[in-house]
Amino acid sequence: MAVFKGNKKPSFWEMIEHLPVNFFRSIFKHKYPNNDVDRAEIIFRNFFFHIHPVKCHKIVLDPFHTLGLGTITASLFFLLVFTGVVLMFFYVPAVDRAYTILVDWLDTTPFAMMWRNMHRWSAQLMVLFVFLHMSRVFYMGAYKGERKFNWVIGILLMVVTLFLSFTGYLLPWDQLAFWAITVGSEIAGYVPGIPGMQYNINKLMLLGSTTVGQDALIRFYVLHVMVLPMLGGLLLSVHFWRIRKDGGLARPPDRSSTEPFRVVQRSDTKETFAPGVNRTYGLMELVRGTCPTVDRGPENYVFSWPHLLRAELAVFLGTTVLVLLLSLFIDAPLEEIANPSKPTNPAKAPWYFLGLQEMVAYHAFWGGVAIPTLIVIGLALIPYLDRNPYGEGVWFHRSRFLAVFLYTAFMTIQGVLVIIGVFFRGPNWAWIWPWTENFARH
Amino acid sequence: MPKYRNSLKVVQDSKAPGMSRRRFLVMMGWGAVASVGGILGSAMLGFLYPNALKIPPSLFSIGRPSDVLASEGRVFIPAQKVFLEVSKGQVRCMTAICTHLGCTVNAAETGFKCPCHGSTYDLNGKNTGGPAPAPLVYFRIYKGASGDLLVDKSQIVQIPSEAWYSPSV
Repeated sequence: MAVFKGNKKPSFWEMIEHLPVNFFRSIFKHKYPNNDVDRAEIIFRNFFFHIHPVKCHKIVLDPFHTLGLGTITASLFFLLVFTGVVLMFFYVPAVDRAYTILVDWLDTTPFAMMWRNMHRWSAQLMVLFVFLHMSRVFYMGAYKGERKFNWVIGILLMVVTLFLSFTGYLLPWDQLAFWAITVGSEIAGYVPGIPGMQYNINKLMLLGSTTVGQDALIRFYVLHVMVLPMLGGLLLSVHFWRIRKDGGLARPPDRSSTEPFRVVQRSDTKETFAPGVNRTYGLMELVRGTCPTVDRGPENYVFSWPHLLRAELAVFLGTTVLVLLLSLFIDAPLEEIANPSKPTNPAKAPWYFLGLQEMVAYHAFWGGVAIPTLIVIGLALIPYLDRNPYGEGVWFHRSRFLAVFLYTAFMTIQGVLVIIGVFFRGPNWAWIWPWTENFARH
Repeated sequence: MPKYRNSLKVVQDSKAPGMSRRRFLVMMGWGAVASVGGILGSAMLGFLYPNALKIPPSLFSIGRPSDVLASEGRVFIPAQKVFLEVSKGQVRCMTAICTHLGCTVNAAETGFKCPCHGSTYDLNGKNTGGPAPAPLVYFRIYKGASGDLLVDKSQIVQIPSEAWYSPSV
């Protein structure tokens, strides 16, 4: 009778022969994902994929459900990290060299303009898509229930994004940069400091001096290339991880849940799972072992490999193509070298800060400190103040007309302020009509 | 701590300390964490707030009195961000830094206008419109030992009419 006595010890030549296969298998312990076990394993064994769920619901893969806004924002963040590192190979954070080196680099280095354009347009698009993503999440009621705290993390990410873009456009040390630091640090000076100190501590710790100069530039540089990207990356990871832990992307409940009382039982440990299991992060336990299908899985779920990963790759590639096209055809603006004695007239911030600039033009403390702080705190508290339990995962649910109205009104006001700042403000921040010839002059 | 455990009759020991050993050690532990965090945090904050600040000198020269008085009118001195006004043998010096958020104001027919947020000032530097919370201030002028006219930015004159200085040529 043939008895299995274990595998035969391979000879030396056989080991050499199988070395490529063995080496590959030591990296990827699963086989090619053309069956359900390996489709699950590639997700939870691979470091780069394991932030995804093994399976996800069919509805959230519909491009019109989420519009891919969060994925686009994350793609832009990754593009920004990559292009930012490219720019760091040339940049010198010194007030007397930053601008001239930048100009020389743009003139002499192949693709320099393209890298800078990519960084600039990705940054502007990222600010735009952060707000679009936030609006999508609000209109879908996706901040309710289990997902309350992930909304708060999202608000923190919005603040980090705005600070990243602010600290970023200071670095070329052109006119825009210098006067933006001046105004920004003066606004910080309106934040109450410690009484009894000679200078306002907020402004002084931002600038490292009482006036804008080398100390300020190196501080903003460190914030831009290290502190804020690390913070943003960390919060982004938590944001992604919580999507899975909070039960996947928000979606309406399934219309017909077949067999809601079926109890799922694991084959080896006889552990039973509650009826109506719809979380997918436990599925790796269900599919491990020799008996991959203990019972049928939750209805309407498909494997993330390939469906979700394919969708993400498509969104990432589309975003990259969009940024590349913008970078090829539109050059990022660069103003004249910083003149510490005179700003341009008018001195305008990039478009996404013009709403803030418009508010500051009414009152420095209320427009620059109090109202923005209240806006951020108010946005972060939305999930804890919204008492309506309906409408989770549904675009514009009927019961949420007041919430939808208030949010739309708020965003419209902010949008109107930005439009006023961009098109209706001329020299000395005076009101002008965009179709008059005054507008063309500035 | 009671004197006897596991008994129905709990007699409070009047000599026992009010805190158990475990609770005392836990509080010591948290105290150690808090003090290490506090030291690191205050070291970080102190590191960002240098003791010696590079502040530009507040005193600067505007030249010989005869040269200053030679031309009438108002000129902008870019290096110091001030306006120098000469009229009928008198001179006064006003800051050009907007009291709102620190941009440099431009001279206009009606006075001064800020390009950043639209603050307006009249010819004496009084804030007349926009978000500016305070008027533009004047600095004291005096004749130094060398004979040059010196402007001291650390000495502020609030009333515009008192800011005029008549140098003896």
